[in-house]
Amino acid sequence: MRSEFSYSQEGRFVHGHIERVMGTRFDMVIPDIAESAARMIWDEMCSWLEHSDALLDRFNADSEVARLNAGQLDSTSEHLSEWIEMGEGYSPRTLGLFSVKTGGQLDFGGLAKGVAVRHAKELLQSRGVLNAFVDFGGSSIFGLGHHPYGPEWKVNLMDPFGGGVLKDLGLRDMAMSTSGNTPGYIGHIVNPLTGEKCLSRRLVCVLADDPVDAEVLSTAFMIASPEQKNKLSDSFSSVKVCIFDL
Amino acid sequence: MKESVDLSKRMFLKTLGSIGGGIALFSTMPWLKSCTPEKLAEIGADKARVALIGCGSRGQYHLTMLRGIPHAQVVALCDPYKTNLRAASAMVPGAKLFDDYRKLLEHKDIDGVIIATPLGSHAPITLDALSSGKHVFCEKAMALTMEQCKAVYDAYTHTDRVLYFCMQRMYDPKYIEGVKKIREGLVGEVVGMRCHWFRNADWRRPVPDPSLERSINWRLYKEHSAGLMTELACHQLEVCNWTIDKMPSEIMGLGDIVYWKDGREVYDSVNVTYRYSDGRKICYESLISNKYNGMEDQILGKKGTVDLTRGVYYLEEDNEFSGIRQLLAQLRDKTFATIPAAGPSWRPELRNPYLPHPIVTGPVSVNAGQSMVAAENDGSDLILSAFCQSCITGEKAERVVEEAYCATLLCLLANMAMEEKRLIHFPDEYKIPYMKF
Ligand SMILES: NC(=O)c1ccc[n+]([C@@H]2O[C@H](COP(=O)([O-])OP(=O)(O)OC[C@H]3O[C@@H](n4cnc5c(N)ncnc54)[C@H](O)[C@@H]3O)[C@@H](O)[C@H]2O)c1
Repeated sequence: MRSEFSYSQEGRFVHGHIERVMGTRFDMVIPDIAESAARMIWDEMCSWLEHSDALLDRFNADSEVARLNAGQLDSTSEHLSEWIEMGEGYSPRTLGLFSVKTGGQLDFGGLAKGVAVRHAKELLQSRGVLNAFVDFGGSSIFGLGHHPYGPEWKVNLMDPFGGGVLKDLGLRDMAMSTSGNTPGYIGHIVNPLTGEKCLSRRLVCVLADDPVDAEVLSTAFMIASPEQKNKLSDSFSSVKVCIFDL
Repeated sequence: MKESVDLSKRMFLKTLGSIGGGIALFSTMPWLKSCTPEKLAEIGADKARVALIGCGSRGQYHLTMLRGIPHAQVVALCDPYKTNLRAASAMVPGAKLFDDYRKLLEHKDIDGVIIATPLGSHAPITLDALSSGKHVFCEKAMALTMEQCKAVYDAYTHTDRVLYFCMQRMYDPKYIEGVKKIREGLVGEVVGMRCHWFRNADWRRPVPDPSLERSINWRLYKEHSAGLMTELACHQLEVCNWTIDKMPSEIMGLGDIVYWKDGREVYDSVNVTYRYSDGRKICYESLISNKYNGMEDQILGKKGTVDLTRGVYYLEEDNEFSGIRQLLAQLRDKTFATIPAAGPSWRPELRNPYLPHPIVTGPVSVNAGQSMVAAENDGSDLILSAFCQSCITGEKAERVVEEAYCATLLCLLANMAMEEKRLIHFPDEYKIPYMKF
């Protein structure tokens, strides 16, 4: 895993960047922080990501998940069991629309980025950081505190089919996650109850305090029926969901 | 006279003035040391007495440039083909005329020779000229065969004479600056190179008498020519090796006569892959029945691409849909705005438009690659001037011969790979200490 860390003297901020982890890029921007303190946070985040990726990456034949999926292991490590438990904990809460076990295979693709962003959030808070922006692949974001020159972190949601800006969102101690089908990448979300692939031109964006809730719900809302949507909205009452049928 | 001194100095400054880097530049590109304006001033009014061997189109082009080089005097011309000899003679009226270069070499009042003959005669003439004590400037490529290249290289290591091959990209400001910036990390780690040269022309010249076909259209016949590789690719392969300071160790390729089935013996279409020991590759292609893609020397880096031919570079990040980049810019500028961060942003992998950034400030001469003779301001003038300076000072231009040797070997090995349809490993017997694999 290649990571880059840079400190801007003039702008007084740090930027940590990993080009590729869990299949995408990871960025963390922290304004108004001492370089050494930021460095320690960044190093810790990197080692967490590296470790988790090595455990969960189902495309890496050496990972525990890949070996379990290939039937090469009889038991599960304690660490992985925790992940499975966390993932499966969401199954009843999402009416079975979210699961890390589909078709007999473990897949943490719809969970891991959210857990990573939550880890980043907790790590930053535990070190007394008040403001920071965490972006995992452009689709899992957490805005801690606010932008140094504004009241919140502002992001906008782009139409992947080229239709421009769909919505402006302000994040203040708020996580955001998006899921969707895009022109080049359709059918990667599967309904665990029916085994059906979701093929609709839909984009779901969820805002929640907890990055993992946001992550899981953005997937669940992609495939939920109108009735299921209502139930989900009731049981996760504090989250905001935007669904765009494009 | 005054005006022409300035011209020569201008050539150097035009090339390097905009670049800067002084001493540091000379340590990485030491061949430029031998032709500084300071050294030019030292030689005062001295003139190099030079002779041109081979008075065809390239030779005549050199004559036009020599007329603008104050420290050069063309004292003799040689060509067995009367038409070309006469044309050249009209350009430099006082020069002695020869039809046999051996006769010319006997003359003691010639300091250096400029060889612009077909490829097949480069090595014999160069070797004869060196052994008769002349300084030599020879056109690229180095020679027709690997044995000849080695013989020339060996002679070079033993002679006290000055030897140049016309690898003019080494004296071209956009290449010098481009390579310098690539080494400084402009586009990150170099991960590959792509060069091509496309034309839509048959390479033929009108022949007044059928008996002259092979000597006038020498480029088409294997006894004189090694085809597209030595005529075109040679310059481009040199740039690749120069840029990453390494030599490829494996070569494979396919060559064919696709369109110009006119009795020629050399390919009109070549696709060659060179592989370095670390897995990086040069992807080389040349075709002369379609010119859509023109000529390009592209250095591909992890963070961007340099098109040395146009003197521009492109950054990968300019083409990225990245909110983070915008956020960082806001923090630097102390501004606040929305960033387009969210949303699954996968796009089909079509080639997207990139923003060109100039490598050198000021106007850049771009070679569209369509002329068989020369391109404006491509370093040919400066390398020739440098040679004439060396004829007076005796100072060699470091690395020029080595670069020509390396590039020519790669051309000839590609032909071998294409003819024998196999993967070629760089042969040990042709390795020289300069090469890093
Ligand atoms: N560096 C460059 O960019 C560049 C550009 C064009 C050509 N070239 C090179 O210049 C050389 C000449 O190319 P050209 O296009 O001028 O060819 P040309 O056919 O126009 O000229 C070659 C001349 O050499 C003469 N010649 C042949 N054998 C001779 C001999 N033994 N002694 C004296 N003269 C002899 C021919 O009669 C002819 O007049 C080639 O090696 C070519 O690759 C280099």
